[in-house]
Amino acid sequence: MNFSTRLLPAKLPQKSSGFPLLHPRLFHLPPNYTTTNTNFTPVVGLEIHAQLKNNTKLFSASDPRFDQNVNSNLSLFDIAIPGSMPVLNKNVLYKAAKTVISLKGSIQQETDFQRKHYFYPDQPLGYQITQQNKPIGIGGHLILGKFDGLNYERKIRIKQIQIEQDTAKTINDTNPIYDLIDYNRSGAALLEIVTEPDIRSAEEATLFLKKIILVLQTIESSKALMEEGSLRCDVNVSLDFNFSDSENKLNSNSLESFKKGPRVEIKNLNSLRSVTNAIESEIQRQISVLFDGGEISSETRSYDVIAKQTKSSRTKESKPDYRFMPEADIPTIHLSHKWIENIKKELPEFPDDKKNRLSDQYGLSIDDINVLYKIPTIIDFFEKVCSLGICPKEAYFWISGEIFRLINYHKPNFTENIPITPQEFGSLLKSIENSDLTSSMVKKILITRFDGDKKTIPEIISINGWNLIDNKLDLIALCKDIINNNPKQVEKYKSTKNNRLLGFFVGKVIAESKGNAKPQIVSEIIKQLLK
Amino acid sequence: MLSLSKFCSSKGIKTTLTTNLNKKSNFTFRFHSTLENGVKLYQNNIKELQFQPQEFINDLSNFITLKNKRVNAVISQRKKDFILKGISKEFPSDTCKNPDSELQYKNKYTSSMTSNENLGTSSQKNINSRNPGLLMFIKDNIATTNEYTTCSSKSLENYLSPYDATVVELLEKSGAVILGKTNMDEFGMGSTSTKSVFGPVKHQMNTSDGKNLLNIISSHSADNLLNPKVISSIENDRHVQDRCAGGSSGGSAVAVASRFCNAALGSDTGGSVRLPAAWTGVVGFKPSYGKCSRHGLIAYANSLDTIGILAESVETTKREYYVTELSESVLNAWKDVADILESMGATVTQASLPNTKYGLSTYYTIISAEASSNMSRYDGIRYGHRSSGVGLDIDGHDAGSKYANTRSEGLGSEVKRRIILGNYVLSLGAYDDYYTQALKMRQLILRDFNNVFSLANPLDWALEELDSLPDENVLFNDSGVDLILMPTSVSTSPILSDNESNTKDTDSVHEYVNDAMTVPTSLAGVPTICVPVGISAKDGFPIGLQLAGQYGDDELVLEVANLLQKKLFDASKYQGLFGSDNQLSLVPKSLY
Repeated sequence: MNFSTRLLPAKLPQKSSGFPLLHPRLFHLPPNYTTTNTNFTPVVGLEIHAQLKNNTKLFSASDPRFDQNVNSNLSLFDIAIPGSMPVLNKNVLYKAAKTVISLKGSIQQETDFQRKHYFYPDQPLGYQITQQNKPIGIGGHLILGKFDGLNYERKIRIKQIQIEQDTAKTINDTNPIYDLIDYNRSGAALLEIVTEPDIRSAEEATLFLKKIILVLQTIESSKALMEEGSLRCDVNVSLDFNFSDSENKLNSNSLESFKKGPRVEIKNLNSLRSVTNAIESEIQRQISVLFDGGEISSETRSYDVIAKQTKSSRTKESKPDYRFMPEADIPTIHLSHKWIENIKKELPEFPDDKKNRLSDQYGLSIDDINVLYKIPTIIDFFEKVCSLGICPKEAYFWISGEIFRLINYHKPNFTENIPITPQEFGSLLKSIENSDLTSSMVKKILITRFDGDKKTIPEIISINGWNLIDNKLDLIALCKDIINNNPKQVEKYKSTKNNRLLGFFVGKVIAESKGNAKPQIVSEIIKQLLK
Repeated sequence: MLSLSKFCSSKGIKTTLTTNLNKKSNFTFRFHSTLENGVKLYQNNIKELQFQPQEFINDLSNFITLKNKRVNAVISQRKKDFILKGISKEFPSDTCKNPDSELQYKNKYTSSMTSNENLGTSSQKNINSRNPGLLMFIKDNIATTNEYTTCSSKSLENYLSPYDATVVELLEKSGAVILGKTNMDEFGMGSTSTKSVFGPVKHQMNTSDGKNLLNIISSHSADNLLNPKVISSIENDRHVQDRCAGGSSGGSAVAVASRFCNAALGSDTGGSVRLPAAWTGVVGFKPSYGKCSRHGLIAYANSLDTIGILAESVETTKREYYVTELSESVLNAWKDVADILESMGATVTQASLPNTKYGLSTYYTIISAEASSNMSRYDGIRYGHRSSGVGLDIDGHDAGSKYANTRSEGLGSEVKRRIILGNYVLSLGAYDDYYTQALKMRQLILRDFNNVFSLANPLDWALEELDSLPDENVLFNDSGVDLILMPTSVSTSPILSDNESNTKDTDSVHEYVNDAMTVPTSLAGVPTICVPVGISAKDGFPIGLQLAGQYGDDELVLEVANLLQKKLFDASKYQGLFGSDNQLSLVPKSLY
């Protein structure tokens, strides 16, 4: 990605004389702004909110799913009825702990909940129950590298992982007089993952998000779908002002040499694209401010998708004091060693480990693996097919080709559940190998299955009459007919032995057999007959 | 500061005390008419064949309506039809049509009955003979579906709870009859029961009632002339003044003291059950924190809130408790009661809880912080008072003024004072200086209690990953004590007008001092009972003392309090003079 063209402010003439760009990812000011070498490094951190996959909410027994009738699934506590009490959902702790371990963080054996106070209609209690000083997870990291399409490695550290309540949903565009509130989401369990400011570009931020989404989906702690709001993201962007040694800093996690500018927070980003665009436009904006001789102020901004710009929503001066205090209705939670160890045993294989193994075990390239990972559930299918003795290359070829084509055609019906078992698919591939079926027959069988035909494979074959003509005598008779009906071509073939003419006869026979003859065998017979 | 009674072996005392009780007790009352005297002392095993529910409830209702005009303790009476339905319910056949589930229900019910023999409010016998169960009032900050649950606040003026509190559900299931809701300080914030949108609760006695009482004693007792204390106090007669009932569960206390009911539920955050109990002369029990379900108790300071019981006797309290699972005169009383306990076989020693002197400031820091948080849900959006003219077109920035109008109209001045205090102690600049210090102080006070009690606090070791119970030397400290005896209040009930002038003042610190004796055990979360021990020779008003035990040791607290109360009635020589007096019938007539 060429950063020099994408990130420089529009009004700055590129390559202004005497100040060449030292590094594609760095920026510099015109000579009248500072005296010496003036390179910026973007410093980006993320706050990710993922809704935990659960049948009940964090502190009540109501259903947290997002697609239900408005205000239809509420418990007393969800709307802060006086005297109602929170009851902690144990499964939330389990899924949060799983996430902490998967991101290489450490689980805090003593963890508690705090109240964060602010008035807003989407917050029925007048405070959010969240974690502050004793979150469930501290530390951890993800490494971006070759599997993510980077030609270098970037370790992004995680500061903490905490559990908190989701808010209700305010709807302010359907009624001109009133704002409407849907409390269905109120009190659903969220996991907030806060990174250290280790991200150096919009690209890295997007890759990191993609990777964390994959992890959350693999361990089934969240659906992590940005389009349905089960994963949302806030970004913090600032520029580094310490201009020495910029080159090294890009490759180092140490923040000691950094002299960060004021931090700007962009809230509520709900797609990968808006994360990328918001970060890029914010970096550009901050540089422009500096160019104009202005000062960057520490503030909260929002991203306007249409204008592709961030705009100020709250300055630091008006920043609320949340008056954190312990939530006395939920005692401090003590997690035992045994419980934590048990979770470690139950964890599935992590994506990078799995990719490494796929590459070693099946000889797939990184590109092949990443193609399969476009539909993560397919990996399991692929491995099961291979375990039946099918050549991995052949299995990969069919899955990435025909199966993906059909899944995409029928999207989103089969992304979770392919309508054919690995056993059935494996036996189809074997039939091709054994010359029992042709490739085009298998394609037709797959299409039938994806169209919703629930019959068994043999039934589909027999109903459609897709059996290969086993009987050689029948085939010979068929070939003889074709030869007799095309004397000219026979003449020509006999004199030239042209293979294209051989193909002509084979094609005719296959067409006559309605695809039920195998080309290799037909070709042999024709050769014999015309010898 | 505190004296305390030590029982080397609780088994030992039990035997000594029970023998004392074999003497014929004076602890009986001769009530003839419900209409004149209110409810009778609850007695589990008496079979009353002549009982007419309809007539009884009518009489009781009229009695309450008449008397309540003066004391203002009850703010809503349950409809007679509902009460009668509760009394005459044939348990449980009409609720279960399916014979299988009926059988299951019956089995469940009877097994829960037999598992706890003390669950006496409604033995099967009682229901069959159609005796009323325990007659009860509920403090208005405990959710009930049959009447409004207002917390005596304008902000919840017309609030009807969609559910019954767990305690109420359990009580009704066990046969208790709920008569209505009682007045209180708004959201429990106060110790006088004067800060209510329904007006102040008044003590069931006024100053002249106290004088009359002392008069009766001095005129009937042979040795009255030898008692200069009594003589001097009667001579100092002044004009009639109302007295304060104490709070915040003042309505519940006065309802019991006025014989509206056998027992009433209150809530105790820093003494809200015990202080009014002491001042009105009834029993007030605060169980260990968390022992009674708080589901349905509208939160004031949720790390201290406890459902408490106000009752006519320890015996009744005990029943209740199992069902829910759930000046100078004062100094004299304290000494005398310590002596009585010693005579009953207890060993009395002095103990000091050095950090409890910081209890009051610790308490007010913590409760104002928690109150500010718990009050924040009263925004008028989903329920409760909403400022007229407040629409809901709230878009972030100007939402503030709309909340402000609703809340400044709906909440009273004491509540606002505590919200502002709480917001201050939780703000970034003040947090470490106030709130953090208060939390530390609370731990020190808790440690004081743990050092004094012989039984280890179960919460200390329950969190460890243990395969078996800890060693005996971890659980018991030989030099410790079993119970602590201390005053509930520094004086008897103050004159009401004094308090009213205080509330009009911006300075309410004077009132906060009322809680000084009760907050330490609240901060520690330990079970504490206030038992009426007698009357002050100065003004004829009742005095109560508290007995506190280690966390979870509620049974011992109740048992000893029960024995103590019976002993006090036996020992009070003027008891016989007051057979039908319903204003102070529950207090042993000993003078201090």
